[in-house]
Amino acid sequence: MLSLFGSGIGRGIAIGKAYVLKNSDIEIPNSSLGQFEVANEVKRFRAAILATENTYKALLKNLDKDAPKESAAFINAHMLMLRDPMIMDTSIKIIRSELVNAEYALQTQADILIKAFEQMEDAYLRAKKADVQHVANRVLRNLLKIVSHSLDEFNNEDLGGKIIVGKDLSPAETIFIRSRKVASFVTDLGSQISHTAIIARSLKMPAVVGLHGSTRYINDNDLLIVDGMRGIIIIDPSDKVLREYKSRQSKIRARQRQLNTLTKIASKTADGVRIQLLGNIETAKDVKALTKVNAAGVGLYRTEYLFMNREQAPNEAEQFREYKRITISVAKPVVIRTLDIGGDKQLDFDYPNKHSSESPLGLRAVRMCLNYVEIFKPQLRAILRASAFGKVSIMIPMVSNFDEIDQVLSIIKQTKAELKSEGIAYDSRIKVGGMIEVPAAAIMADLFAQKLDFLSIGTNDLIQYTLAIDRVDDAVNYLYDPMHPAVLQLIKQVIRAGIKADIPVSLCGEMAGNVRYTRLLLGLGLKNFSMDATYLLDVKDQILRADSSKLRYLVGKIISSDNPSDARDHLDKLNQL
Amino acid sequence: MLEQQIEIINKLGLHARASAKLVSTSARFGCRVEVEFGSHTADAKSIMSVMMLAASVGSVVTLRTDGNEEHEAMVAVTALITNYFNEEE
Repeated sequence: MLSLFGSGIGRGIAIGKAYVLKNSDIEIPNSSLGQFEVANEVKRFRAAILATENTYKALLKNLDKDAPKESAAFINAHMLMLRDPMIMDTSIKIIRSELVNAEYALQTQADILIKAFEQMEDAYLRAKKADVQHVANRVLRNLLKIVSHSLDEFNNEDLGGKIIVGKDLSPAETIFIRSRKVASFVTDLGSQISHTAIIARSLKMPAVVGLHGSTRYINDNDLLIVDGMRGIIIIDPSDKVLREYKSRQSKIRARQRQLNTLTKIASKTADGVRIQLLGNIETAKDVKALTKVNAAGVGLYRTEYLFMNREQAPNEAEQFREYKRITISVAKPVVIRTLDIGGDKQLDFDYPNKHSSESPLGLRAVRMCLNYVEIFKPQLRAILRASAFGKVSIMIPMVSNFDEIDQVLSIIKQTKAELKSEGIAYDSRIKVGGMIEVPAAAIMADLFAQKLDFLSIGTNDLIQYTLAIDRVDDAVNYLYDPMHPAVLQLIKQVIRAGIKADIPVSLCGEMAGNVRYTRLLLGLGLKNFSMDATYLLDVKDQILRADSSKLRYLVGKIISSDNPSDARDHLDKLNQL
Repeated sequence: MLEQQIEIINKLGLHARASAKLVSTSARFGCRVEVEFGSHTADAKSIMSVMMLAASVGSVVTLRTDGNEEHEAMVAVTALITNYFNEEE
C-alpha cells in the first residue's frame, strides 16, 4: 500500500484498476538483411499492413456515435494511405533493393513523403505530413509489437470503470474520458484550475491532479483508490482501508440523496434574497445534468468544444443546429459565449497567428475572433438564428477595451441587418454581455456596464491576470489565490458597477461552484452564480442557510485584511455563522 | 482517351479527405484515371499521389481517363469536384 498526494477534485471516491497511458516513442531499428531473409521480411511487412488495416476496420465498425463526425472520414483516408503504392509497394521495393528491415524501409519512405509535404505552400496540405507519420507509426507499432496505451479514437480497449494514469491529459484526450466511461483519472501535472480539473468536475468525477510521480509508482492494473476530497490516491490498499473507503463512498452517496431533496426548493437566502443558480456547459450532453438539479438556465455555454479536435471549423449550419438544439432543450435562458481559444484550448487547424494564442497575453478569445472574422461571423450568425428559438444571450470573452466592445457590437449589428434582409428570424433585442477577466476590464467595469447588457466575472482568468500567474504553469501554481484581496476588491468593484448601471452581474469561474466561497460572494452582493451542475445543490444548500444581512461585517474584514492567514480566519468564521 | 480541365473549388483543396473521395470514386472504374497539375501527373487511384499534387483551392487541373468506362469515370470525377467533394462548404 502506498499513498500519493496531489490536488483533489470532486468530493467523490473512485475505486478501480489503473490504466497507465504510454505515449511510446518509437525507435527504428536498422539492420541489413541477407538475400535469403528478404522474402520473410516482406511477408512480415505485409502482415503488419494487414493487421493495421484490420485495426482501422474494427475502429470504423465500433466508432462511438459521439465521436467527432469527421472521424470516419479520417480513418478512411488513413486506410487508403496505408494501401497506397507509394507507401506499401515502395517500402517493399526498398526492403528488396537495399536489403534493410521493414521498419527502416517504411520510415525511409515516410520521411521522403513527409519532406515533400513540408515543402508545400498550402498550410492545410503541409499539415498532412502528420497523417503520413500517423499511418507509418501504426504499422511500426505492429512491426515492433509495441503496446500503446493512448486515449484516442484508435484505442478500442474497454476502459469502462478504469482509472486513467498519465503525465497530463490534453483537452482532446479528456473528450475520450467522457465517451469511454472511465471512472476517474490521476495526472502528474495540473492543478485545481487546469483544464483537466475543470473537465473532471463537469464529468462529476473525482480525480487527483498534480500528483508528481504517479506514472512512476503506478503500474497497469494496480488497484487504486482516488479520494477527490483529500487529494489522495492509494495504490494497492489493504483490505481494511478498502472497506473504510467503500463505506465513505456510500456515505457520500447518501449526502447526495439528501441534497437532491433541495432540487425543487426556490433558491433564496434565509433572509429572502433571491439568488439565481445557473449552469456551465460545454456540449449538449451537459444539459441533462442541469435540468436534473433545476438550474435557472445556462450562465456559460463554452462553444469552443464544438471547434476542437477537427480539421476545420464547423460551418454556420452545423453551429446553428447545435445552438438551436441546446436552446430548445434547456428551455430557459442560455448565455452563449463566443469562441474562447487560448492556452490549453487550441484548434487543430491553422489560422493567422495561431501560435500567439498559447500565451496568456496573446491573441486569444475575442482578440483572436476579431482578427479572424471568417470564423467569428458564422458563429454570430448561428447564435442569432438560434435566438429565434428561446432566450439566448451573447457573451464576449476577455474584453479589455472599448474598441473591442464597439467592434463586436458593430459586427453583431451588421449581422442582424444581413439576417433581416435575408428574411431569417432572430431575436432583435438579444442581450450582449462581456466577460470580465482582465483587470483592466474590472477597473473599467462602470464604463463597460454602460455599453453592455450584462457582465460576467470569469474568476479563473481574472485571478491569473491580476496576480500575474500563468495558470497552466505548474511552477507558479502555488501563487494562485482566489482570496487575494486584490482579486476580491476587483470582484466587488464589478458587482457594484452592475448594481449602479442596473444590469445583471454573474460569476462563472470555479469560485462560483466552491462552497467555501459561497457566503463570501453573497456578502459581496453577488446574485447570479453560474457553475457546473455537480456543485449546484451544494451551493444552494449554503445559500438557503445563509443570512445575507449578517455577512457584510466579516466580508468587509476579509477584503480589507492585509495578510492571507487573517483573511482565511475570517472566512472560516463567516462559514460558521 | 478523354481529357478535360477543371478548377478545384472546395476550400481545402485536395487535402486528405477530398483525395480519399477522389480515389474511392476513381477506383470504381476499370480505366486509368489521372490528374495533372503543374508539372506533375498523379494516378487518381493513389491517395498519396493525389495529395502530393498539392492542388489547393483555385488550382486548375487536367483530368484524363483512358480505357474501360472512361466516359463514366470522367462524369463521376467531374461531378465530385464540381460538388465541392460533398463537403459542407
